[in-house]
Amino acid sequence: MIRISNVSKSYGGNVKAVDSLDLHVMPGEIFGFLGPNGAGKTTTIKIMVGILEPDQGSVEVAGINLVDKSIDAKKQIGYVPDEAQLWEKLTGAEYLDFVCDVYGVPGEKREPEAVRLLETFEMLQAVSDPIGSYSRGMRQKIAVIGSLMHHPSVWVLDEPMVGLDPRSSFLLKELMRSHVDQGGAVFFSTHVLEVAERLCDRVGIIHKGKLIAVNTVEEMKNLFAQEGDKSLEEIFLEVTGARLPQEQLASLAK
Amino acid sequence: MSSGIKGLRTKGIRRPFWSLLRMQFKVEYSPAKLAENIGLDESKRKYGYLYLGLMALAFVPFTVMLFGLANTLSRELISVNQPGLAVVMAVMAAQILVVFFGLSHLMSSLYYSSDLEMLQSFPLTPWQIMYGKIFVVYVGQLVFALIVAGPFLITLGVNLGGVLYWPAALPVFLLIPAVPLAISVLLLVPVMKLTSGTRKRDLFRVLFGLLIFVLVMGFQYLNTNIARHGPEVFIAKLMEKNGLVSAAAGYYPLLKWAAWALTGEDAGRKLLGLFLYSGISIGLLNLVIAFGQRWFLGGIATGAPAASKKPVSRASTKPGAIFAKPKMPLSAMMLRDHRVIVRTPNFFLTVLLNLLILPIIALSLYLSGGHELARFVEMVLGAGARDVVVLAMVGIHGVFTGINQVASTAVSREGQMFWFNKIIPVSPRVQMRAKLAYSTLFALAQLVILGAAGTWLFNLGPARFFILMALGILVSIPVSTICLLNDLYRPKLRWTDPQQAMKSNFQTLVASLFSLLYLGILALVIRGFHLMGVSPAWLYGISGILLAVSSYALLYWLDQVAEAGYARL
Ligand SMILES: Nc1ncnc2c1ncn2[C@@H]1O[C@H](COP(=O)(O)OP(=O)(O)O)[C@@H](O)[C@H]1O
Ligand SMILES: [Mg+2]
Repeated sequence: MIRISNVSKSYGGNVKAVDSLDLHVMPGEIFGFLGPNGAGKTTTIKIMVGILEPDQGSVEVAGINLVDKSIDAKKQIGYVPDEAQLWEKLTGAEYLDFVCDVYGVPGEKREPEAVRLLETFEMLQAVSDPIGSYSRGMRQKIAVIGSLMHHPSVWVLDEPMVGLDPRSSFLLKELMRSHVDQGGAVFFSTHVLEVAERLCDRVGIIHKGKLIAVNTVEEMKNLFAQEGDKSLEEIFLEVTGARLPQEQLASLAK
Repeated sequence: MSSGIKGLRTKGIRRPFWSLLRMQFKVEYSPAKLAENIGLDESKRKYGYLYLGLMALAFVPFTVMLFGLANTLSRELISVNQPGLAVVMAVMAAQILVVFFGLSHLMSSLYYSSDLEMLQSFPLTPWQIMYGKIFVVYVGQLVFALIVAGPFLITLGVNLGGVLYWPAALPVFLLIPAVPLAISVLLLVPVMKLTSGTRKRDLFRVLFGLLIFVLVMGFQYLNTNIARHGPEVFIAKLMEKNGLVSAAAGYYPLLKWAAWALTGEDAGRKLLGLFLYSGISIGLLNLVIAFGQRWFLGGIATGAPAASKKPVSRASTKPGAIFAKPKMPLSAMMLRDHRVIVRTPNFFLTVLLNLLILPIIALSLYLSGGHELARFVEMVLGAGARDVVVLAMVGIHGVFTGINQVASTAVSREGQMFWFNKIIPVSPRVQMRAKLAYSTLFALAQLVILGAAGTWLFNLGPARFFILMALGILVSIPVSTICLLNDLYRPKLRWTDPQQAMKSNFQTLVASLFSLLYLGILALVIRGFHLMGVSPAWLYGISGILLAVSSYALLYWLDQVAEAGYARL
């Protein structure tokens, strides 16, 4: 569903934010993209959805090349950015209407779909208010709803749980599950490991722009199981080199 | 189901491009947005158009004056058989204004708006995004064009009589922004693309913008210098009907075509003019966009909002280099204010424009015969002319300090981060003094530029230059304090776009009115002494004392209210 081949990207300088990344996300799977802050998750996602052009490499979405046929490819994607920069002056409904226009959702289908999603996230009351008056979580929710209005085959979310209350975060996970059950693919980034551990079919760990491990959560555990039953967190800390030596820990504790 | 969500379409579908235009228009020109731009608070947003109408009423005297002027001019020109010249002047003035305002508007709309990433993730072509953005700028610029060209085009039509004038005047007016915006886009797109990878890109971009402006002014100067042909040619041209039109239009035939379209001698000439004017305007703008869209996204692709972020090498950042020198709270606060300004493109642009507006004015004064200025002033004012110039320039510097928006938005610029100032162990008094010191330093930079330009234009000499500097510093302090006080009482802290905090902050207008009031009173007093025949040396002394005393009083006031002011925010 998503095929990223040998993608690199640097911002002006010589440091690569994403370095020769290869990744393949299959239909019917939830893929968790893990990495510490500044690892290159957002950059990768922006390349995947066509906001940034990679310095090298290519991206295919549902078999369509993102550079050659970008409009067709983008129609396959539903994207939720990390910080939803939405138009403050539009109401939630006007925003959804605009998104539907842009993605070509017929008028007849808009309301039933919108009502279903708005009710799910308890946003039906607020939908007529300007987005400028929304809280952070509400913005996140309207962005999530907007990204699903056109029934994308690939759903890409950048740190979607940030700012959501537990109930909404639970609902979002349910939606992800039902999306892949219908044959779609979900790609989301997070640094919250429990979420990834419970939800994902496969996870990839990115560190300093390089993909350093890709596998199912189970196998990843097996791989690192020599020293007993490790949690994903311990694996994560180990491969990203975040484990501090004993003496440094001691000095932190002072 | 049919409960109906307001704003959600239930039938058919809108073309993405139209939807984009509609949305951009709504976002930029909704009553709420307009109300916000003129500084109304949330509860009054609904009445945006109403307030805008009231504001427009305030411009009625100005408009009446402009109409009167235009009316006289068009009558005169018709009587000397040169009606086309009115069209040339109207369109030219409006187009220069569009180059000036349109360029920065285009820059912020095409490259610095916060919705660009979101739009790029949608299935929209670069062409559509670019067109949508330019449309918004176009409509905005049309308002400027109306204010400037409207009175001239309307009075000319009335004075000429004839019904056929109006259907031609409408497209001529509507297409005024087309060519200037096309030229701006043509220059802007490559510059943005070339600078997008560089560190100091915002600085480069502003400098390029100014360069473009200077080039346009220079072209304009060459172009309209009718006298270059010598007086005989001028007289000869004056004799022909519309003979001056082609001379005034010079190397820029669009103006000539506009004049033909509205004042050509026969229907054929009119149609030809209209056809060429409209065709070239529409064609050029579309051509430029068609070519520009290929490079347009490249100019923003590297994450514009992150400003001039140095690519930090991951391994080798030495915190020691940053933390090396501990600073006093006062200078630490000043440094922070400075960094925020320099690194927020929108603030930086505003500030730089404030610094450079003076040299630009000086340059255009010089180009339009300013080297004669000193002699002219001396002729009118007599012997003490240069001292009057110095005092006037102190006043002008005071006005520029009042409108430079650095002091008058010092608190507003903090925005949502203001809470930080309340929790740090630095007293509000010291914080306000830091803001005052920074604003005064900025005014000082302006002063040096003003002093240099003035000394050059008016031949003031070193002694008067130093007096100008001394009094200039003295006037910066009270004016900055007034602006700061105003912002402390009513800061705009709830903003999402930096534009709202500085450039379009209504409080800056209020602050400049207060400082004008202060300067006006001082000027009256000094003028009184001048009329009484007090010598220049004494006038300088009295000004200095008055400024120093009022500075002290205002500073005392600021110290007294800093604490309480912070408590209220
Ligand atoms: N607009 C930008 N300009 C310069 N560097 C950037 C920009 N955006 C991100 N970076 C750098 O790229 C690297 C990866 O960032 P990002 O993809 O946002 O990481 P993540 O989302 O994993 O936290 C970081 O080192 C960051 O500093
Ligand atoms: Mg991120």
